[in-house]
Amino acid sequence: MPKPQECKNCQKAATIHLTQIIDGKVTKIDLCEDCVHKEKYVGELAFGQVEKLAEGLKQAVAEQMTLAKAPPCPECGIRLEEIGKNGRAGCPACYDHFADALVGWVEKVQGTLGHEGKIPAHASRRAVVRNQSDTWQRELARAVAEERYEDAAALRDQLRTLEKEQDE
Amino acid sequence: MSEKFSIEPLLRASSELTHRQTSSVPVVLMTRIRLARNLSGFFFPNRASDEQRMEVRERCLEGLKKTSGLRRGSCWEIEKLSGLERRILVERHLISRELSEGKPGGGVIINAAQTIAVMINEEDHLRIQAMVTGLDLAKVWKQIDALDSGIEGHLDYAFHQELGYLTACPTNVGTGMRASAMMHLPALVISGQMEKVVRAVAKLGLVVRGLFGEGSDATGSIFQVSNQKTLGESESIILNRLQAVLRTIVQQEQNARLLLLQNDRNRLLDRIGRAFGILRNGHVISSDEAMAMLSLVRMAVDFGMFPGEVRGTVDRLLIEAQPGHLQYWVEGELESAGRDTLRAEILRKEMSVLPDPDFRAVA
Repeated sequence: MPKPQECKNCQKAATIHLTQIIDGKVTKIDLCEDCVHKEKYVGELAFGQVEKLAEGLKQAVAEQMTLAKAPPCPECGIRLEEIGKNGRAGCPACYDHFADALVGWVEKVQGTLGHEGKIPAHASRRAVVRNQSDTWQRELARAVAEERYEDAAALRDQLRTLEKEQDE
Repeated sequence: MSEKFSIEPLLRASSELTHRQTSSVPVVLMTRIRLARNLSGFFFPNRASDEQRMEVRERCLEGLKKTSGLRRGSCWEIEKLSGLERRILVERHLISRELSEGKPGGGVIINAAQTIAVMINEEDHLRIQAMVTGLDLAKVWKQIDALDSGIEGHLDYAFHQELGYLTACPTNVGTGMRASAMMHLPALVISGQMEKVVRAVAKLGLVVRGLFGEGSDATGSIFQVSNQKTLGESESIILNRLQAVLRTIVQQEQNARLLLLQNDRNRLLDRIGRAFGILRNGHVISSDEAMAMLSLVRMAVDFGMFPGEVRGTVDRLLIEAQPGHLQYWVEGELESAGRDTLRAEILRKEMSVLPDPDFRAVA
């Protein structure tokens, strides 16, 4: 940790660090809160802005803390913090795992929520086919175990047709 | 010429952007749509290891090669291409700078007419792109919609009921669609109205970028205008709005040209005459200067000072006068000074067969 800076006027710890640019010359001044008001380094309005800025910083810090606290994505292991930094999620599952934060971000950049337009047409059919295929596989195994060879042959043919259809 | 580049066939073929002289139109160079898609169950490229990216590339290529429209496409693994070859693909708008500089596992598949290019492992697993010369969003959408459905017949996309197609960057979720037109707006630039246009367009949820997308310059007064939002509106609504705005910008540019002719005629004709003079007689021409001069000649074609097919020549040269393409002609690396000389030589040759500009066309 760097040594805390001292106030320019008294020896108290400086909590306000002013950077002034006057006629292109940059001066940095460290002050404690009392001296800031005493010396009128900042006008009333400007100080209001400083306070606003401090409030904004406090919020940003709090946000950072929440980001850091959220457990990483169970799929890809990325932390919310990192997504915030890079602006990119780690995997599709991040959108479910970090739903609270990510959906908020999406809403902020997109202005709205709720998908309109094209949706995948084949994925659901493929899922149905996979389900069917799994069921028939199990039935086939049972038929073989129970020596019902005619049933087994029929199931095998059904599975083959299904596979062929899927490849087309 | 030896087949020293693996992308050579692509350069020799007549492509949409370099050889469609007749379909080239004033103001809009090309219309393009890209769709961002990802495979479900795989890490996004930025999070994936080299091995995982290669696996995704293999799966994607397998699916893409089965898709109608891409079965006879040419594919390349980006890490197997030389820096020069990547640069050429960027200059032809077939791959992005991000993909060309990316980590191992990147790939691209391009159809014969070079109207479709699918990038693999760019920011998303798939960046499907389709383009045509001129302004025709409906045609490009029809093409890319069919292609996307075809690809989805072979690959499982990551999709979310509420958020639509899931993408690495939250700014692309929803339709995953960015539609854009590459616009030639010299009169708006000359008359200092571009800033106004950019601001107006931003209010409608659209963005204006330079020639090569995000962060690039608008060399030759060429800009990309595209949609920003991807969520909450269907593709057709986004495209209709974009089309309307693009038409308005075309109109604005045409008006600005007429105003220039009315108010500053001699200065404008002087610019055009000098541009032609430099292209026809120059011996050292930088890439930026070539773009700026070609840009003025393109506007002269729109004014009727050159035959219509010259516009196609200009569009081709806008691509072929760039550093990567030039080095291809000499089959190797060429330093900047050598490039500028070679560029001037090519431009002199191309311009020598053109008639002089007919200034009476705008009398």
